[in-house]
Amino acid sequence: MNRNLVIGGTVSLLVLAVALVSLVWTPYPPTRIDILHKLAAPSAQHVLGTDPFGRDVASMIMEGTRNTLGVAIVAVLLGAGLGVPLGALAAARGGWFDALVMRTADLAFAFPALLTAVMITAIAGPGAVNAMIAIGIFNIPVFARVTRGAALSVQARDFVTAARATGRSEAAIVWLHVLPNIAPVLIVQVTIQFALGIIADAGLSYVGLGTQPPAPSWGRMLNDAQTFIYRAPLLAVFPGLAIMLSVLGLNLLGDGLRDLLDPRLESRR
Amino acid sequence: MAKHIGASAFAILLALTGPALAAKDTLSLGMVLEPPHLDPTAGAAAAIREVVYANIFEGLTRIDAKGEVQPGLAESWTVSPDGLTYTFKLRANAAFHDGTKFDCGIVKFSYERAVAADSVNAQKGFFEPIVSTACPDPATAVVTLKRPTGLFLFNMGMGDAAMVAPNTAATNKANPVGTGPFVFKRWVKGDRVELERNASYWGKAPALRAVTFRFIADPSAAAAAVFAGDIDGFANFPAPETLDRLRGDKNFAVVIGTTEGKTILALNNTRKPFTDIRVRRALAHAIDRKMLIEALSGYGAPIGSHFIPTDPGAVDLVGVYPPDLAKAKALLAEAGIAPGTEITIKLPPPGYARRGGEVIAAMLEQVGLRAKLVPVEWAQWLDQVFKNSDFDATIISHVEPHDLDIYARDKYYFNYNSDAYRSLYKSYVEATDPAKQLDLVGQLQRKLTDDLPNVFLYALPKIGVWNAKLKGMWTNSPIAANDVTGVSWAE
Repeated sequence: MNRNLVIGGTVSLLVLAVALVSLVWTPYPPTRIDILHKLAAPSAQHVLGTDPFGRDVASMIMEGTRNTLGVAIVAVLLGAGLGVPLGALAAARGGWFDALVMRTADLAFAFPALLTAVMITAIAGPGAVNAMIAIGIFNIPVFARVTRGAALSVQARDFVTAARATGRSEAAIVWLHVLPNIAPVLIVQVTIQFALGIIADAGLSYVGLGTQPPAPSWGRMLNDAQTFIYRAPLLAVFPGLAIMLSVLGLNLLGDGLRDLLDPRLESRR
Repeated sequence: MAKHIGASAFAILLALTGPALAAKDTLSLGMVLEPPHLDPTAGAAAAIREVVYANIFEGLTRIDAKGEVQPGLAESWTVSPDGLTYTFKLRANAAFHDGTKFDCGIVKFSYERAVAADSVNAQKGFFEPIVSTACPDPATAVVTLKRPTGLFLFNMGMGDAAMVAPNTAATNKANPVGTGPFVFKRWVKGDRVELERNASYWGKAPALRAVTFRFIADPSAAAAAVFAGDIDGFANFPAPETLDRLRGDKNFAVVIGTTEGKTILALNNTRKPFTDIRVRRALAHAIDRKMLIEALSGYGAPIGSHFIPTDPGAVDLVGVYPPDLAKAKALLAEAGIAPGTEITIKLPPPGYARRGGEVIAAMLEQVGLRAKLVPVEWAQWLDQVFKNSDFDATIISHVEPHDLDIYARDKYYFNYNSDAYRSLYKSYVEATDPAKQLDLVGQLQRKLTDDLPNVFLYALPKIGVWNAKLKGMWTNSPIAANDVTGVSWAE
């Protein structure tokens, strides 16, 4: 059994479970303040302590998980939903269309992704929805390029030629032959982009451009904790751990999935 | 040979200690808000005065650290027995930074400009009592008033009444030219304003050679800059949670004082649901001011009206709307506000707004109101909220002293519109008997508490943090200013 897959899968499932549980239950309402019990240390009442306003840190992390996953999921769906068809079409059509899609992707790659996301949210206004769009836009060229590269190698194989000889349309070939064969590559890419999406969301929230207060987010919790580092260092530790664990889990999961799904790598083991 | 080595060692030692022996003569002060421009006669933002007041621009009088009136560009004055004629004796050797001579013509120009039809002065009311400014000779200004005005000398010491020269008045916003002991050097937008000593100042030369105001809105960046010594201090430090650590460090002085800042949850009185007094009162019952203060810094006192509790004439109205969730809910229900109704609160950068907003949102949630928090930059706030009244609610601190007049204005951003208050205010400014004035100040406060155009939160504390070797920083803020003319380094 693949160790990366087990660890990564477990951690990722755990993160997902926390997000799902937060939909129906958190120890306290995450926005409920209790000034008299501010900056409490972890205890039986508050497992991870309380923040400067007396809010329960565990509840905030739980809802923060949900908010972050929401942004990352939509961003990946947006990127894959537009990027995969574009890439597959570019590979199938070739010619000027291929050149246009790939040069546009190159152009997009030339901009630092996070910086441009900051620009987009600064123009469109801060908020979770704009963060989703900003991060999602940068997933499009990634998926387009990965899809095209993988699809080209499939397009050249005999069974595709055979299908073409039997008179199948290009669209049918892409749908029936190309996509199923490149699915493993895409699944791995999804986990990578998902992890990057979590980091990007945390980064945007950290500078105040992501999920807006009072809704909790990991990035803003980190920022808020900064000046309290001398009084309550744990305030910065917990959201930091949450970001680290979820990204690590997804990366391990991606590695494990690649080992499992990509036949080209298997022979090397 | 040994002697030789000894001599060079001594020389090296001298070279190393040399810079430390020379007393430091530059100052770098942090500010949370960047001024929109640098003309104190053309805008309400306190940040303008916090850079230019007494440093670049001066008025006939000036306000000192205790809030008392001192001679400024007028070295002395006499008031006629009827209180209507002020005769100012002007400084003979004062001049603007560009060489323009200061005389009575400047006084006449400055005061007449402030009330002109196209004036954008934020305190036109200061100049409204003036009938005329006459110049019997260049060194004497005679100002005649319509009615005795108790605060006239104080008002003429405010930044809004600063002396400006006709040839530079139009360009003061970007290139301020005043008569003060510091000359404007440059403004790096978004970062800092630099001033340097005015070599030909008319009065006592300041100890500092150069002053830089750095704009750092983010509390963690502000704290880091202070800890690292990048800046010498903050007159209003935005990260009170680090005070315990700063107090334990003998390199820093932590000085808690008072300001004239009335921190309020300002409501747009022409927008639903705030048109309904029951809703406004419900908000007041929903917000626990003591808890809010505790959450922000632990310093500052609750207020029940638009008045600082320690100012003369203050009436204690804090208890009129005690924290009472049941009552707040009942009032909202009575006003027909469904639970879950959303209100938008625009939050400017200071901590009392950004952090206070989160606390207030949580308090409002307990009575069924959903507060949508919208952080806005300072320039946006001034434009959207203050200038165009485009807001539902906002949190802001009014740091001008004696500003009960803002509720009597025809047009002010929160759109309070009460003829009863206006006539009460009119009788206040026209009252000449001090006892009657105090009584009317009390009535004005009560009227505001009763009508509750805004929810009055707390008196903003002045949390000063600076290098322990700095001398002459103000403890309190009787007016919004960073008067550094008396600041020096001990050593």
